[in-house]
Amino acid sequence: MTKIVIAVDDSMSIRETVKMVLGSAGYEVHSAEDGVAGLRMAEQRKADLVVTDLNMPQMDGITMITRLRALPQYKFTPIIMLTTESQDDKKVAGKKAGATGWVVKPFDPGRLVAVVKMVCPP
Amino acid sequence: MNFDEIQRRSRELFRQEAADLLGELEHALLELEREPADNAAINRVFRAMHTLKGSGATSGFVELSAFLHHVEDVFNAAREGRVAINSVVVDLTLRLCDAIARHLEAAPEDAAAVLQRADPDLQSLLRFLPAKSAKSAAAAPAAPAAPAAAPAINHWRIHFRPHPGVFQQGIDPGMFLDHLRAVGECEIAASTEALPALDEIDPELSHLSWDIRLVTVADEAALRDIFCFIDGDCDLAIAPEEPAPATTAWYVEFQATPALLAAAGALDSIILELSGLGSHHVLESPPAGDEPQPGRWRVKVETAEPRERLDDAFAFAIDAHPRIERTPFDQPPAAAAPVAAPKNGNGKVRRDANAAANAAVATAKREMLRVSADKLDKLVNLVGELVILKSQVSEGCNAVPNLPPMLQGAAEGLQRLAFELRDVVLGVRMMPIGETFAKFQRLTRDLSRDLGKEVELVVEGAETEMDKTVLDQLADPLMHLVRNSLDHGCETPEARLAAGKPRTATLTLRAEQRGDRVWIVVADDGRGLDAAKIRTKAIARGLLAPDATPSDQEIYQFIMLPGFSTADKISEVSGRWVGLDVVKRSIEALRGSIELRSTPGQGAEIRLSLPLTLAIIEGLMVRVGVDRYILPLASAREAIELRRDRRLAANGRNVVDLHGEMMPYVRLREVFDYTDEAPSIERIVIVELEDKRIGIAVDEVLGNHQTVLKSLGWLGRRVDVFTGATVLGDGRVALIIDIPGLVAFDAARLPAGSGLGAGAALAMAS
Repeated sequence: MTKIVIAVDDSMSIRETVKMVLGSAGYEVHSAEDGVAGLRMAEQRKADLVVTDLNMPQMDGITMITRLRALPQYKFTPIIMLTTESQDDKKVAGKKAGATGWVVKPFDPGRLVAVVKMVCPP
Repeated sequence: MNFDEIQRRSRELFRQEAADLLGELEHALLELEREPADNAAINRVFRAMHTLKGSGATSGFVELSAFLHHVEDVFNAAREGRVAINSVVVDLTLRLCDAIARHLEAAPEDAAAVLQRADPDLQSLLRFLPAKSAKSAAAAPAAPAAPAAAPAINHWRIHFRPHPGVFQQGIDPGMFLDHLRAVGECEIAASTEALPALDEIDPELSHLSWDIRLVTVADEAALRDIFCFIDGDCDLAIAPEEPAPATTAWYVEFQATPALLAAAGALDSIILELSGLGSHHVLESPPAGDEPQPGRWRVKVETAEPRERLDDAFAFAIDAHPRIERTPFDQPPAAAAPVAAPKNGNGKVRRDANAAANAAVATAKREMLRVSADKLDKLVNLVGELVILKSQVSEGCNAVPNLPPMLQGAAEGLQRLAFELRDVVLGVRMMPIGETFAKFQRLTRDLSRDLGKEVELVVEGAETEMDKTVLDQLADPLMHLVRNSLDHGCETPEARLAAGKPRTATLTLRAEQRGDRVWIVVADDGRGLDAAKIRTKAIARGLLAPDATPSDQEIYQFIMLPGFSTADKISEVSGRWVGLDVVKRSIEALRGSIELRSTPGQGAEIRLSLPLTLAIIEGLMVRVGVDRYILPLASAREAIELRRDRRLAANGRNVVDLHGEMMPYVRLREVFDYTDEAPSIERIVIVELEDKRIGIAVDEVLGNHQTVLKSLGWLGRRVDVFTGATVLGDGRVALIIDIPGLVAFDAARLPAGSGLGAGAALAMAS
């Protein structure tokens, strides 16, 4: 069964790039533009993987990860953070909130696919 | 879709996004200029830049990203209170935004130069940064890739024990093992030592550990990188291992004789013994039937053991069956070939990724949200055809007596679906008008500054949605109106203060939906229009009789006549409201109408009324003679009777008493020269046109008709009376009447001074 990915990022081009890249790799990608929308989408439909930006309006990525982990159906779901540069403090905070891993922006498509395939094989 | 293609599309998407973000930046910067300490605005600027930078880098705009990095520094410092925002900072940043916009639009070979030209502005901006020397934004050349060293093959022994809680980070330890398998030849042994007894197991915790032997080109850092997501949440030991002794490939050949086959299990013993030495592979064997067949066997055995062990193993298997005569190898084992080097893990990964990428192009396309307007237009057109076809089906069904209920149901279902589809498709084309309005913030700021005026732009109803085609075609007329207001409507601060008004003029852009139309208002609180001057000019140009006494509002309409204001630009009409006739034509081409009101000294207001969409028209179907016409319903107000005796009593003047007021009407029979006898009671549909009521006399009103507008094409390009045509359910064509065009045509048709209401003539004389 096709794996469902929710991509959360306030940047349209990143959302669409993630969609194209992961879509090409055989995932079904849905996107949301901030943490609130991402959380709502995740509640409505169980995703196999969540890819999220950290710095977003409405609700930031770390809050969303914490909220997701508190949902029984997302207790074990892989969550990948998209971090700009190598924000180590953000990474640590994200891991603490329950993120599975991260991809550093700017990412090349191959890197994103490799990480996603690793944490959530298609 | 390969990665190059993705990269290309990604760049395209980024360009679109960047335009939005630059708009947002501009908006926030202008707010910041008004309220330099507005932290929310500083944050918006910072966020927009940050997104631009991050998305730009991801989409391959490396230079832009580096450029923005510096600009972002300034606003980051502002967020932290280290830089105070002032109008110079805003100004410089706005100029940098313009440079970015040019950079994005520039041809690839010019793009870098565009950014470099903006470097002086950037340097000036960076001087606001405290205690940090300004840096040049010229992108540092990318570090040349290190020359690929010949890959050395490493042997690793890895011990990996995830901490119990890792499942709750979405980590499946198996993913690291899979990753290791992808980088080299792996031997993985799981240890269940720490596994509790079954009834004590907490299934949400991880209890296993693994010992892995790995042969790979990857170095230790690369292996640690594989485990980076679980770093700190596992015990991980990676140590080099002495390579296993080199193996040799041996080719063992033997003849399976009937005797050997007869000995139960002998053949299996041979294979079993050989396999005990190392990996084995049967290269050749007799064709298998239900029973083992006699014939030649050839087996490849890879082992580090010496040749003698092979002999021994074979001998051991045969000796277990003493009744078989042992013959030595037909041939000595072939000379050994050294074992192949381990597979290159990277190569494998890349292949896999490519295969998957090719397989799923269709998925990616389906996920795309941005669709070209052409495709949407085509879709709208097709839906239009479908709606017409649906009408034909419905009428056809109505004409059949005793229609089978099944067909009746299907026809109704088709109708429902067709309407739903149409609504959905039209909905897709709807866009909020806010983006169109937002462009005027910058225009207002720059232009008012150039003119030495202070003008604040107030936007209301930005969320109002309109058809994209209408919006696109609206941008230019709106631009014209806003410029006009700024240029001629709003006064300088001194003039305003002298007139007892606040220093800053207010320009309002307001949108609101009313039924199937959107009203857009461009209003200013400036000096308004000068009715006396317009009147003088209208009389001078023979447009108005010297003794006529139109109201001021009627006089204002003159400035929308072609040539009235454009002919001599800086003119008696105080150089005002230039080119409004062009605006009027554009709006009318969109089936809209334009109204102008003004109160001298207090401002002017232009009100546009536009249809939500151009593709569908809500019409009133009427009949004249045997023909059908459609009147746009939006302008129709009511219908009254026109009795023949009353009509004749008016002495050929087409006016009728409407609630005690004389209302002019246009009789389609006359306009279109119908010669058959008119019914004794005709109908007048009363339409509203620029605050005036005008009647359209027809034979009969047939009812509402929602119709898909079809262009008349080149045949109709000089016909102003009709906006288009539609195909009726029975296949006949009905022409759609353009009411302003009809009224104008009727006015032109009649000799001057005829009975047609002066009001209509005044309003529509164009």
